[in-house]
Amino acid sequence: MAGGALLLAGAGAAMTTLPARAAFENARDAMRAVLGDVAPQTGRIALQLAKIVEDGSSVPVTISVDSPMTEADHVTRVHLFPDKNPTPIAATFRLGSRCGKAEISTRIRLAESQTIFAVAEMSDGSVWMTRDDVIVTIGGCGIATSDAASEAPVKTRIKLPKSAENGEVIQVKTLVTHPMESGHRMSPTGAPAPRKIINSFTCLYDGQEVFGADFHPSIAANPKLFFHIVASHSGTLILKWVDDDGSEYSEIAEIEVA
Amino acid sequence: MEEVPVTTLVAAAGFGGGIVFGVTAQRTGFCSMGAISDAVLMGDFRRLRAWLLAIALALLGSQALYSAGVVDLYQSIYLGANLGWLGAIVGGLLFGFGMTLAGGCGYRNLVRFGAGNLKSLVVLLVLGLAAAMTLGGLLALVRTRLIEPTNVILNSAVEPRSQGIVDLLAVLFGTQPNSLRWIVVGLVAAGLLWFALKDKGFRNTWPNLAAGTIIGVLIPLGWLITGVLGADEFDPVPLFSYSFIAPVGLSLQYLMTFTGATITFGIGSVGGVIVGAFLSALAASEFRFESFADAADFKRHLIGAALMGFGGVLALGCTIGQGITGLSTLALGSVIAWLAIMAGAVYGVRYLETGSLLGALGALFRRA
Repeated sequence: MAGGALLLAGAGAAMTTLPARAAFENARDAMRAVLGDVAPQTGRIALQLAKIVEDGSSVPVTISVDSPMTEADHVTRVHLFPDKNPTPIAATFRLGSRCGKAEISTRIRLAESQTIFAVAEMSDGSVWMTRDDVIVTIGGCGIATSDAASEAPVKTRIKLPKSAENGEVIQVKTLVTHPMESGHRMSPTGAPAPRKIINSFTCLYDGQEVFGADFHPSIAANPKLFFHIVASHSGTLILKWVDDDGSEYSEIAEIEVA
Repeated sequence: MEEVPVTTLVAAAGFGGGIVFGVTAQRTGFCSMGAISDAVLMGDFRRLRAWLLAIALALLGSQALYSAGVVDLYQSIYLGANLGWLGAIVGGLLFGFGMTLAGGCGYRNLVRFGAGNLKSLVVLLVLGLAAAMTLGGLLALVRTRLIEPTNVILNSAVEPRSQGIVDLLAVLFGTQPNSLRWIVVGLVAAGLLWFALKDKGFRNTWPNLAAGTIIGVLIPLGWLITGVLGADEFDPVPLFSYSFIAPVGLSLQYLMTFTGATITFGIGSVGGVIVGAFLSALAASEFRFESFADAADFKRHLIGAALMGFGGVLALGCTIGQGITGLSTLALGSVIAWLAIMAGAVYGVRYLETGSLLGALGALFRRA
């Protein structure tokens, strides 16, 4: 990963009017901006992360929230805050009762060893938090850097179970090949490479959003996103990714309910 | 139903192959350090021929997988354009010297530990610690500040950017790598096979033949496990085959951070070798506890283990990792590392014989 000085320079350059691009000092700042003045309680949300990682450019993380995910009691939003990254918020995920299960997997970038905070907002207004520490060592020998800018065309992928029982909670696996240029990385010419990331994702089930996400530069290249939905009827899923340059990429999949 | 994660499948398959590795060495006495010391001290080349047979078969199998489009060897750590020549030389020499002090390479010590040798347990703990320290700990500073700045980027203007001998020759002759590939592979493999099999004494000792054949087949199998079984479309595992230095360090780390760690091919294979050797030793009634003879023995093993852990990571591999797996990709760095390991081991054998570092140097020159 790039050094601290480079990261700071990049953070200034990346400032625009979009609230998603606001620069925060640390996770506490970012949390206040996103949640307002609530003090999260500890519990109900869990983070699954390696304790030691060699390749900070792509760190798998799974967040799960203990919730029945019913109409009356479900998770509304989940946020991920890497405290010492130049952008100390990695993503916000929008969930609802139609997710069936509050468990999300993705991959994040970690510039250095730090604490990761995960926060869940519930439909009853309560807010829950957990934290985990990760040690990021320098890259081992021959570790491939998935951070390298790529000229490859953007490709999208989705995987669903072939068929599902009525009301079954199924996992949706998605991926989009994209360099997620953070705006903090020096290009070979010495100037910071301009930010260009996938900044949002939505999953529509027969036209209605059942899951969504806002991404920040701390999401690793080739954003991977696994989440769950309730297969309530045979229908069409439309997945849509939005690029900083305004391009939209989409993928359509049919859900077969027996 | 929850599906089994790809990482678990790959580690389980690596474990299975590791068992075969463990049984093979336990039954046949295959040992890369022994191969060199037999040759240097007794003029007995049989175990060395077993090693060369393994290299030839691993080369043929791996290159066939590449040519058939099954495994892209260019995704492995060996074929990158970044040639760590100094790490290969320094690391290889230290590793080769270290393995003579520690009674064998990382693989051999895993096998001996499985058969009850407690000296090998100490060697593995120290080797793993030194390897982990060189990967991401204190010694990583030496690696990244002193060794890696000398790395040379090859073929920066031509595709594929690689340190493959085939690719370098292709640039030299202004042709395509794949039009040369099987000429080079054929010549190298034929040369190795000829040298290995020309000796009647070798052909008539089944353990050596079996060891060379089985290990030679396991290397392409390792590429298949990580490159095909591990090719999850969302989370592909890194392309890898059998190697026994960094994986020992990562195995220790895995045991210490188990609750937050993911198992890998390398960790599975390390466990497999120990279990395979253990079962094999039990079945043959050869399991017995062994310990150090005296303090000097202990000291020798400690130093050897530390040199192997540090050197093995610098050189990107050991007598198996570079000396068979790396060579099967025809990477220039693997050839350099392999020759350096051999040189370090020859010197180490002479050192043990003469009992002094200078005396060993003298012994080298007298024979030359």
